[in-house]
Amino acid sequence: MGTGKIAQLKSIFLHAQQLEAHQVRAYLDEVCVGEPELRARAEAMLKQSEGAETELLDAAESGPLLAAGRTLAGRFRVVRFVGKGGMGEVYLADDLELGGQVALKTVRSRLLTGGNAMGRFRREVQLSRQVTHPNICRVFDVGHELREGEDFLFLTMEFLEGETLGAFLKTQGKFSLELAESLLRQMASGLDALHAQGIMHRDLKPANVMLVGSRAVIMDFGLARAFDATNTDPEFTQTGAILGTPAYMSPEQQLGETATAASDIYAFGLIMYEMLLGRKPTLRDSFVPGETGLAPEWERRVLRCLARDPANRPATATEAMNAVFVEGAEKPARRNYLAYAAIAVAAIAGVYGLSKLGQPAGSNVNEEITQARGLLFRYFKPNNIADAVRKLEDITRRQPDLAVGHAALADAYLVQYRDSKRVPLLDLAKDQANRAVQLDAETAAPHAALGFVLVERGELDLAGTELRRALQLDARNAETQWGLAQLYKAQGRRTEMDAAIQKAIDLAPEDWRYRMWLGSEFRDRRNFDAAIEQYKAAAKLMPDNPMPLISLGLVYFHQEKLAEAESAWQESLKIEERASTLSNLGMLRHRQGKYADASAFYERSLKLNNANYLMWANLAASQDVMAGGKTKAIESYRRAIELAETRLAKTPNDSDLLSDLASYQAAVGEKDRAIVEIRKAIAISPESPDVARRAAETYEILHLRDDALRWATKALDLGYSLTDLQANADLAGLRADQRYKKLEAQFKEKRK
Amino acid sequence: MADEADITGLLRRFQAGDEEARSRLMETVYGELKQIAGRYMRRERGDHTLQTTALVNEAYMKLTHARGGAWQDRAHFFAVAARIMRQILVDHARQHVAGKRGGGVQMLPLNEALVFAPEESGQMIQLDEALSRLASEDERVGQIVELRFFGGLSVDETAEVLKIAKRTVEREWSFGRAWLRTELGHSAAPQ
Repeated sequence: MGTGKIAQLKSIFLHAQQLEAHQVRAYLDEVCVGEPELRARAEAMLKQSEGAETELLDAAESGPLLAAGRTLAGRFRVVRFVGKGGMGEVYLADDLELGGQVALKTVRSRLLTGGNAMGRFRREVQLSRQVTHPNICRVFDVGHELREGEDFLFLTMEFLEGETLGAFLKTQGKFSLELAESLLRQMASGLDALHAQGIMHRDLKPANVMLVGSRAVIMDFGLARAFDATNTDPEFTQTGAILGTPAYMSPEQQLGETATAASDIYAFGLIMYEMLLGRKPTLRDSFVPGETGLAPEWERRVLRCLARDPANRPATATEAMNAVFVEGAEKPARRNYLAYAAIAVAAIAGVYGLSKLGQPAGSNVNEEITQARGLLFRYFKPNNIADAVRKLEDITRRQPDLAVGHAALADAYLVQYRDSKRVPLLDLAKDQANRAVQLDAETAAPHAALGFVLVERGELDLAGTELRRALQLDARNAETQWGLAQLYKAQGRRTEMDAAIQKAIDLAPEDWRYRMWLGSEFRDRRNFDAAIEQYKAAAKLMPDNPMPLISLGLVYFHQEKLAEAESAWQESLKIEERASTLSNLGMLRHRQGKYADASAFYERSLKLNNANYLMWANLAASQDVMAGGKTKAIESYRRAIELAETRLAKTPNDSDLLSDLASYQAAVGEKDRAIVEIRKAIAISPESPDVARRAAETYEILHLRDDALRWATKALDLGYSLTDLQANADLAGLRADQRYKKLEAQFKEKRK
Repeated sequence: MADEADITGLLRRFQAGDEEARSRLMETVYGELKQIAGRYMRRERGDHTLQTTALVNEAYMKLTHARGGAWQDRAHFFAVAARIMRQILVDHARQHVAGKRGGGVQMLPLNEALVFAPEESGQMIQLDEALSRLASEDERVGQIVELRFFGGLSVDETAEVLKIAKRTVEREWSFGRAWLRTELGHSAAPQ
């Protein structure tokens, strides 16, 4: 078993265990393509684990437990298998005694082995039978089948033909306000009826709400308690029969406190959110009034239900829907809302950072993580990245068992790596992401974080496994789609890449980073108009961010739209004065032939950052063509050479750097060195249009016209823009050459 | 031999991160476990399978004279004992197979906690080696298997000792067990 294979097997194994039995084969086919040994091993492992916590391939191979025609308790005849649920299987059955059809649910008796679990189960069913309400699934009877080695309980209830709310949300997304209102009112009415009977649902979630036409019916209530893992029976806890769904657990349930009606109200609020926005809230979602993306009256309803303190939630679900709320009278401070938010998000993220004995991972930590993530989201502001990293390092030290903390820190290291290109950060990021997955493999965030890191590291197969896992856990997570887009890009799968980034944007249209990324993608494909559209959208989404405007200006610049480029850059200067923007403006003035203006911009830029060799070179280029500027130019070139050589010592194989350096050396008359450097650059990147262009410049400056011409031709062949070549001041002499004119004509002909 | 106060004191200090307490604890527990294990292993065939949990529990009772005791203390004691138990069993297995090479090796059942019988010695060594391979690539899974299998710790106790969520323990254990079962099945197959 080679290095990495165990990690891969583990990821596959744990993922497969989460799948429905019928999905396992297809999943293995997909994930193990071209690796028959891996597949065989994974399959063997899944078979080994049958009869343990899951019955995966078991069910896939042997089919449902009960065959059609089988009669149970002399009364219920199985018509067909309907599906698999958390506790067992569901069948449609004829009631031979009373007539009509019922849903028959089997309950694995293994879940009922502890102490008086059976008694509790019967009592819950007893209670449930007393509820008759159109929005509550009727429960009829409980039975025990014990023969020929089989031992299971079954439950009969109203047979509902329709689609669950969960399935609907997955396929259709959000609801219209009218439909949401109607369905939620029905659910509220049903939930209140349950509570009136003293029954808590305890596992309210979209998968437990059946939509039958325009009717919403709540199912599977109360039973969770019969299998309650917090029960003191130690034998019982060891079966691992936790049936609550962490994503919809209220803060108090997460803390291990007894669920009350208020806990159901909390879950109800989350369902509201999901129905209205078509997705579960994530760590990046705001729960500050006015920022949730919900319509104002809905926002009030949702936020009240999600109040951290159960006492602050509406007393009944119907009250929650009516949202009796006096503006100003009860408005909690902004900070309190953030606390709600953090808790809601923690619930959604399935944070179980608490053990019965350990310190609970309180809302403060989640709030801090949310804040740190906010800093990362705005990484364009100075110090934000470093602040986020520091905060998250501190959080993970204080709460070493909190998966979301490690996942966020992994993201932070990754952003820092992209910003600084310090390679060790990638290792740190990977460690943190691995730790997050180890702590909690049941939610999307840790897998997505690991996937991102692996893409950046070029470990694409593993990255794919993680990202697909994240997608499986939360199909509506925009970040995962973004990660997939990056993966597909690295794999050269452009169609899939386009689809993934589009999905990310559809899921989170407010996220400026996706627009930036797509804009750069279009720019690289020379689809400038599409790039402009994306950059503009990004600038609008993040008005205090200079980055989209800087990129926008560059695209205009490439299109020769100098006025537009200038206005974009000037606009970005108002937000933040950046050395690179000033340098760009210098370049623009240079292009316009206004060399004095150009060097003024460069000098301004160098005041902010005098360690950038490109700016010195740009300054030199402007000075070079100014009257009496030769001496100054040489001095500036020497500064540029000095800085470039320092950098070269760190990255000796950077062909862009080498070819830049060559052209500067040519400019100061260091002929031999210039030729050595440019040859090195070409050897490293023979197919780079930029290196070819710089080779043309270098040779032209050295008066080696034949070579200059050859490399100019090559640059055009490789896709370098003719417009850029025409505007290159260093190539003015070359352009006057008849042979270049011929080349230009040929090229234009070819382009047609 | 350490008295009761000593052991509980050491356990407390060990839980607080005292390395010296840990090594003293190891010494004490090793001596006791070795003695008990030896007694079990000397028994005649048919009666000499031994359940590690029972054995470790016996050592714990003996060393602490505790009926109840703090639950966490017990969990940490078992965690220390797991490593030692593994060592004792593997050592014993090595001695046992030294004289009798060949013969079919049977699958060692990998259940919640180990039930050990000397005729499974060959498998014991393979298991130990496989577990080391697994742990070298996934330390966490290795730890969990060791605690559950050799120390007989429950899911709750394992979660407490490693300070991780119960569900994580369950998942990692299910993976570790499946991996080991297939790994051992594979190496026991004829070449």
